[in-house]
Parts: sequence; structure tokens; C-alpha cells
Amino acid sequence: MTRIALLLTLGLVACDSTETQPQYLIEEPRVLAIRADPPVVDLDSRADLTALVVDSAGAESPTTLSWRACNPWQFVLDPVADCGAEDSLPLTDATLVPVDVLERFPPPPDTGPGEAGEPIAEEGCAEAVPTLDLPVVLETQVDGETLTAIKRVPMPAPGSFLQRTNPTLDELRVDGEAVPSTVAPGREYELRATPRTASLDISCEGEARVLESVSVHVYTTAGALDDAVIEVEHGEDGTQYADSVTWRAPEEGGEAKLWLVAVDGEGGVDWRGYRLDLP
Amino acid sequence: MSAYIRSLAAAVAVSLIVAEWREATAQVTDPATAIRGVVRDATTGEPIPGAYVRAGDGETGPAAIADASGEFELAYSEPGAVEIVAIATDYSPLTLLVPRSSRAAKVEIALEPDLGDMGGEVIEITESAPELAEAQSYEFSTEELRTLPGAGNDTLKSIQSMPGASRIPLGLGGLVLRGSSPRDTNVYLDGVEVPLLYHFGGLASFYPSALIENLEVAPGSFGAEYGRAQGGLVTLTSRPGRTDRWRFASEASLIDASIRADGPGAWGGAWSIGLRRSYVDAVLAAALPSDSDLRFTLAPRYYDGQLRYDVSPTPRDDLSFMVFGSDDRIALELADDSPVPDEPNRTRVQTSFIRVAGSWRHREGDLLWKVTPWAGIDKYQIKYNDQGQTRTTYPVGLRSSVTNTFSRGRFVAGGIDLQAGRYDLYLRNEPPPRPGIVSGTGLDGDGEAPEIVTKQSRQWLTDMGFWLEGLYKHESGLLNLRPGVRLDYFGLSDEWVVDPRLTVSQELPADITIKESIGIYHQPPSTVDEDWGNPDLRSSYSVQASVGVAAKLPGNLETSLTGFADERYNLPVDVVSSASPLAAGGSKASGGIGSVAAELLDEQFGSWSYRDNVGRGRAHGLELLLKRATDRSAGWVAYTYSRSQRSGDPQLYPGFYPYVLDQPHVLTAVGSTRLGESWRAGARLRYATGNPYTPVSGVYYDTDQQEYLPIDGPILSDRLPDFFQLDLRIDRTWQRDWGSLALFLDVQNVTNRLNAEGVDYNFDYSEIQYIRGLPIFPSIGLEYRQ
Repeated sequence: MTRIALLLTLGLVACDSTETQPQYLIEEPRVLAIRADPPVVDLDSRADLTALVVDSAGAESPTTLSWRACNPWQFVLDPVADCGAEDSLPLTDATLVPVDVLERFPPPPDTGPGEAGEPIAEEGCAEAVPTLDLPVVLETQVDGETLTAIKRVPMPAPGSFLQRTNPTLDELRVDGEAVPSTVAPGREYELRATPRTASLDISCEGEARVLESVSVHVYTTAGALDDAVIEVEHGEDGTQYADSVTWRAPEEGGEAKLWLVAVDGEGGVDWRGYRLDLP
Repeated sequence: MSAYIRSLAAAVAVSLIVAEWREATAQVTDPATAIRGVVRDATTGEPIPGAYVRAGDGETGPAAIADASGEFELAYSEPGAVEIVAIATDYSPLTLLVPRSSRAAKVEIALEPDLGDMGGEVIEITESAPELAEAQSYEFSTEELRTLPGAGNDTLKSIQSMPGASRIPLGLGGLVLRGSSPRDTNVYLDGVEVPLLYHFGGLASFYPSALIENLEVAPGSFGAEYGRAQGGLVTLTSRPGRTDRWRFASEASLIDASIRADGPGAWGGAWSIGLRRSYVDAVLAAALPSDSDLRFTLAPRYYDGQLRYDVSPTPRDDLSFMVFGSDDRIALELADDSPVPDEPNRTRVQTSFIRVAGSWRHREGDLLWKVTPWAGIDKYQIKYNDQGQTRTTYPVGLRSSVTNTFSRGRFVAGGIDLQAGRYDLYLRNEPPPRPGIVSGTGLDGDGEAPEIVTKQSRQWLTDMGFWLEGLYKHESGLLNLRPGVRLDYFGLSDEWVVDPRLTVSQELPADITIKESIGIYHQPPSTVDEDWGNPDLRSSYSVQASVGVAAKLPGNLETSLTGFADERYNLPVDVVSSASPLAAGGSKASGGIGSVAAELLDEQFGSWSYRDNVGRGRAHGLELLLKRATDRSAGWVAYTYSRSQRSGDPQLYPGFYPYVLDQPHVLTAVGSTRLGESWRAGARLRYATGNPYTPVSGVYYDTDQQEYLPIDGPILSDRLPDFFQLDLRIDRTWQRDWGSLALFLDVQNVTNRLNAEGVDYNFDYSEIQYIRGLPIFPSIGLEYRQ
């Protein structure tokens, strides 16, 4: 981290970059999110996989999704080279079954879960629960373009216990109100989105147990954002701290799509989409 | 009247000296070991008949009187650099050091007319072909380097303009000689190893140029006297103080200011003192917007200081004592995106060192003894919030040698080169993947997740070197043999290594010298390589060979052409993670700025990776130097063709790929000339092939991180556009009774060319853009000298 910080500092001094198209602006088909349910899967359990894929207009695309699980003992740098047809396990019904993955890719002789010693229950914050990430690759075609995305689904080491749920996003608030059906062209709106507290897991921050943090990524097909992420954090007393982003509606009429993708620190995901009309 | 008295006094002094010389020169001068030269008026270029010239320290050295054409000849058989004193009526006396490689050249001494002060420390030495059978090295007088356009009055920054040196992006410091890594080149000041050559990676060098007397750069194939480096060698000689009276000088530029003084001390000795402090902090503080998320709690600032005392207690003994050090610090705060009222992210970087050294030279007939003990403290600290590392080293060293000189310059020399120290490390960070851990899976062999760890260690290490070297010169000059051997013990790896080295040269008619050199150069592992846990690292080494020809041409032209080839073995490279210099894990800077920065910081802060000795390297190329120096102008053209390659972990990257600073073509043309009596103007033109970078061959979306990740194409297979830069410099000097004042304006990149120094991409890597280098950058400074 320190090295990265130093290089970033160097970069700050050195860079003379020009602005490019922001990531939040949807202009091409995109995979915006993959959700595993549950987000953390036990060895003897299974997780259902769904994805948010949008076309260039920001509409959810009813495309065919091709899923495959990769070798969890090899870091996937290239989903094609490291997790091709012969190096992966097809997931035909969009369901991840850890037992099947580990049967297809058994642990290397000297590595793997099962040697962790005493089971670790997540009661204290003294030790993190060891997990093995199960990489899952999604491939799909939208408007003739092949999209590839990856998600890593954590699996607790056998004998360990880790129960996680996906967060659930509350309704988006626009200027503190419910989402309007129409918005004024060129006007700025404050967007605020928070997850339901009941849907959040407990996480460890140092020795303290607090509600987990959630990053809500905002995507739009039109207009401009001052920041593309709404950060939601919690204090030890349960107080929620959430910032907001400002969206400037486009000048021209038509419609704008907004997508919110909430991601927590343990693989939990939720999303919501909105359509806003501009007169 | 006062000028008349001074002239009269000088005339009397010269007369007395001439009488002494006539007595001293009642011996035959050996042509094989003579130092020849000419004394001229620095202003008019006219010879100065009758000038008194003496070689060597103290009062016992050989002396000569310049003849009608200003020429002189000194019989001086001791090896190494020699100090020459020149005195003439109506001129300021001059003391200069003739580098060992220029000993056989015709030394040009330019005396400044005495304008009523005791100034005139300008030294002009005509470069020549080495005659001591050394492999090709490049040696320049500090004055011609200091006034080099684009160097900002900084001698050491001009090294990158020499043959064999690669260009470093963004004007940063760092020495990449013949394609070797910066950590492979050692730098010595008066025999003491210098751990850090530049402030803040290149803002300014650690030692003020005015206090450096000589600079010699050996891109490779250096002798057995130096070791522990598999790349090149840079040796600096500091300037001793003068004994006649105290002089003061100061210099101020846009980034720093310095003062220095030298003068007589007790027992006939001389002090030399210097101190410099930057004010980059004030400039940056003023430039940073008040609403910026970035805030300097300690803006970048550096100090350096120098203290040297020289004394000759007997005609046969010279003693010197020196202290020098450098301290760089920066601390900044950057507000984060967290909605929780929180402390900002804090980064703090400190690099500092100090050296205390002594030196004793004793002559006994044909024997010359040299002993240089030294000690120091180095501190490198980088902290990011509660993570980071602090590395404190307490090194001590001893260099000692004895040289026996024979006729015709033959000699045998041997010595020891010891270095020991205590190495303290405090480190708190997330360890990189290591053997037994599956990268990216979060599990290691014990089923434990990687986490922030704190590591505290202390090591006591000793490196020992013993060397023997000799020079045999056949009477015909057609065969000069300089064999050497070095035996080293490396404490960290607990191993003994032997490095045989040989240079052969032939002196042909018409001032043509041919040199061939071959040798082995071992380098111990660095303590930073073991930060992340490989205790079994061994030394790496290179086999270096070179063939060169040097010649003096009509019209004060000198040229040399050297071909070289190096093979490097057992290089420590990352074998587990992707955090290698290739940044092959999908960094946006695969090659370019990120990789170069990692190379430059490698020796001080290490690499965030687990390394093993499975890397290879190789380089070959040609170096061409064409140089001309006259009384009024100087300049050179340096062209280097070089290919440098590496191989990393053979399991990950079989085969060789370009080194991140591989620059096949580097051309530097530089020149400056006096315009009238007070003005001087110069220009430097630089061209270099663009650095390699790894292209992006594909992309995928990481939904956990909500970002696109690139898929690397062939490693370092694309190149940035070629680099081109024009620098200009002009300076003016005012000579007054109270001293001289020089004002310089040095403008880098006058065409404001937007050179590409790295690559960056848009969010999905569908568009590429270049990280641009420095725009037009003026540097102005004022220097006062007594």
C-alpha cells in the first residue's frame, strides 16, 4: 500500500492526463453486476447466479448468459487464457456448487482449506475467517458484442462458519424525495441511496463489530455525475453515514436511465434501475 | 598601486619558485611517465611563458617552467590522479586535479588574469584517451558539466548525457548504465560509498557541484579496486579547500540556495564547508489551491551539508577528514471519500544519510598507502497511515590500498574493501503472496488469510573485499596489460566469490589507443530483497566485455568508440506475485512510469514481492563519443546503441523481453561557447527511443471491484513515441573587486514538446493516452564566488 501511495503521489505530480469518457456513462453494452445468492457459499451448499447486463441504451438485456467456474487455485488474470473451456467447469443452470468445483479442481498437495485447525466461529473480531475465492466467469453477447465479467464467490474454509446476505437497496431519493417521473433538463439533483439496515451483515473494524460498509455505484445513460459512488458507512453505535452524488440532467429531452449497484465488502450485491423522462 | 604591489609580489614569488625548480629538475624526465601540458591565458588563449607548474601534493613534487609556447613537462610516476599547481605573474594561481585517465593527455591550464581578487577556480581539462590501460570510462571536468545546458547547474544530473547512459523519464535521477538497473551501479565520493545520489529522485544531486572536482563514469568493465556492483561505477572527487585565505560563495536557484566557504586552518590545513537547503516547500505551498484535497503537512524539502578538512602534516603524508549528509522529507494528507468524519490519509517519506570519513595518504619512495575509514547512518522511511516501513542502517567501512610504482608507469596495487553494519527494519504492511500461498485466493498453506503484519528485524552483516591489480606496459606501448582479481565475501548470503578482470590496451601511432576488457562482477543480494522472506537469496553477477578504440584527431577533437556485451545471471526477480517490474497483473502502467519508478526506488524501499535468483539479463551495444574543447568552447556528441533484455520467472515468462528502460538509440549533442568576455551560451539536444510498455490485448469486468481489468499483451512489446528535447542555457559573469557574480538561465524543453513518458487508459481500456513529460521548464540561478 505504501508503495502504491508513493507511486500515486508520483503520478499526481507527473500526470498530464486529459479527461476521457467517465465509467458511469453507459454508451455501450455492459455487464454492471453479478450477484451470488447467498454471497458466501459453504462447501456443502450452492449459490444461484444472476447478472445485470444492459444494452447501449441502458435497458436490461434479455440475453443468454454463459457461466463457468474457474480453477480456484490459480489466480485468474485472463478469463479466456486462465479459464477457457478446458480449464473451467460449465455452470449450465447458473448455479455454483462448491463441491463440484473442488472435485473438478482438487487442491494442490500442500495448499488448501481443511488445515485451518480449530473451527473459527465469527463471534469475535480477533481472527478473520479464512475463505477460498471461487472465481466465476460470465460471457454473453449483446448487440453482437461479447462481454466478459468475473466474480469471486467466497467459500469459508471447512469447519469455519460465515453467514452473509446480499444487501437490499432502499428506494433512491432524489433531492430528498421519491424519484420523480420527469426531471428538468440541465438541472442538478442530489441522489442518495442507502441499503436497508436489516439487510446488512456485521463486519469487524479492528476489534469492533459494526454494520458493514456498502458502496453504491451510480450509472447513467445521460447527464453528468460529480461522483459515481455513494459511500455508506456505520459507526460503532449503529449510526449510518452516507454521502450523496449530484447528477446534472442532460440538456436535451428524452429519457435517462439510472442504475444503482450496491456492493458490500463480502461479495454481497444488489441493484435497482430507474427511468427518468425529460420533457 | 595595490595591483602593482601584487604583481611585484607575484613576480618575486615566481622567481623564487623558478630557482627552486631549477634545482629540483636536475634529473631526467622519463617520457613514459611525464605529464605534459600548456598554460594559457583564460581570456585571450595566449600561452603564458614562464608560468610555474608543480605536480603532486606538498612541496616535494616535480616542477617545471612553461617554455616560450607555454608548454611544460613534469616527471611524475605515481599512479592515479595528480594535483597540479600553476602560478604566473599577473594571474590568479590555480590548483587543479588531473584525473588518472587524463594523465597522459596534454593538460590545458587556463589562468585567469588577476583582476585584484583571488578568484579563478575555473578548470578546463582537455579530455584524452586513457593511457593507464583502463577500460573505457568517461571523465569530464566539473565546470564543463556544471554549465551543461539542461542540467540546472548540477554536475551529477549531467551523467545522463554521457555515452552508455539511458534517459530517465520526467527528469528524474537514477543511473541506468549499459542497460543495468539503477541498483547495479555504485557511486563513491572520495572512496566512500554514497547511498543516495539525488534529492527526491532527481530534483538535485546530493552534493553541490561547486564542491566536486572531478567526475568519472565507468558504464562497465571497471577495475578490481571496486566491487559489489554488477553494473557501472561513478566516482566523485570532492574539492579540497584552499590554504591562502578564506573565500565565500553562494548560489540560489528557483528550488534551493547554498552557501560554501573554504580557507586555511590549523597546521597549514584547509577547510571546505557547504550547506544547502531547498525551498520547494514554499513554492508548492503557494501553488496548491486552498480547497485542494491534497495538503502538505511537510512540503518536500531537502538539506545537504558538507565539511572537509585537509592537512599535510609532513611532506609525505596527507590527511583529510570529511562529513557529508543529506536529508529529504515530505508529508502530505489526502482527504478520502469516506462519509464518516475521519482522519485524512497521511503519507510521509523520509530519506536521509550522513557519512563521516577520514583519509590518510602516505608516500614512501615508490610506495603509496591510502587508508579511508568511514561510518554513517542511513534512514529510509515511508509511511501510509499506520502502514509502511522504516529502514535504518548503521554502516561502517574501510578502504585501504598500497601501490608500488615502477618505471614507465607500471605498478602493482592491492587493497581491502570492508563494509559492515547494522540493519534495522520496521515494517507493517500486507505481505505479498509467497510460496505456499495461492495468489488471490486469500489462503496460504496454513489456511490463514493474509493480513497486515508487523515485522521487526535487526541484522549484523559484514562484506569483505580483497583486491589485487597491476599494470604492465611494454616499452613499445603495443601491449599494456592490466589484470586484476577481487575476492569478496558477502555476509547476507554467506558466500565467497571471485571476480577476475583484465584490460588490455595497445597504444598505436597517431594517438590511437585500442582497449579490450573482460571481467566478472558480483553483486550481493540487498537486505531489501529479504523483506518478504526469502532468506536463501544468493548474489547475482554479470560477465562484462568491451572493445574500444580512442583517438585524438586534429582540431582538438577526441573520439572513442566502444562496443560492449554483458550477460547477467542469478538476478533476483519476483517469482510468486505479479508485482514485478512488468506490472503484469493488469496495472494501468505496465511499463512506463510505474515500472520505472519501481526500478528507481528498488534499492531504498525494496520490491513488494518475493524474489528468487532465477532472472537473467543481457545487453549489448555501441558507445560513440566525439568531443571537442577549446579555450572558448566545449561540446560533445554522445550516441549509444544499446539493447538490454531481461527474463523473469521462467515458469511465468519464458524467454527474454526488453528491460523497462531499454532504449536502443540515445543521442546527446551538447555544446557551449563563450560570447565575448562575460557571456556564455549553450544548447543540448537529446533524442532517445521511447521506453517499452506492455500493451493491452483484452479486457474484462471485475464485478466485485466494479472496474474493468486489462489483459496484458506480449510483455513490454510496444514502445512509447521517441523522446526529443532541446535545452538552452545562457549565463553572464561579472568580475568585480569583491568577487564574481554569475547569473544563469537554463531552459529545459524550450520547444515545449509533450514527450510521452507513460501510458494511461480510459475506464474500459478502449482508449489510450500518454502521460506527458515535463513541459518547458526554466531554471534561473545566481552564483557568487570570491
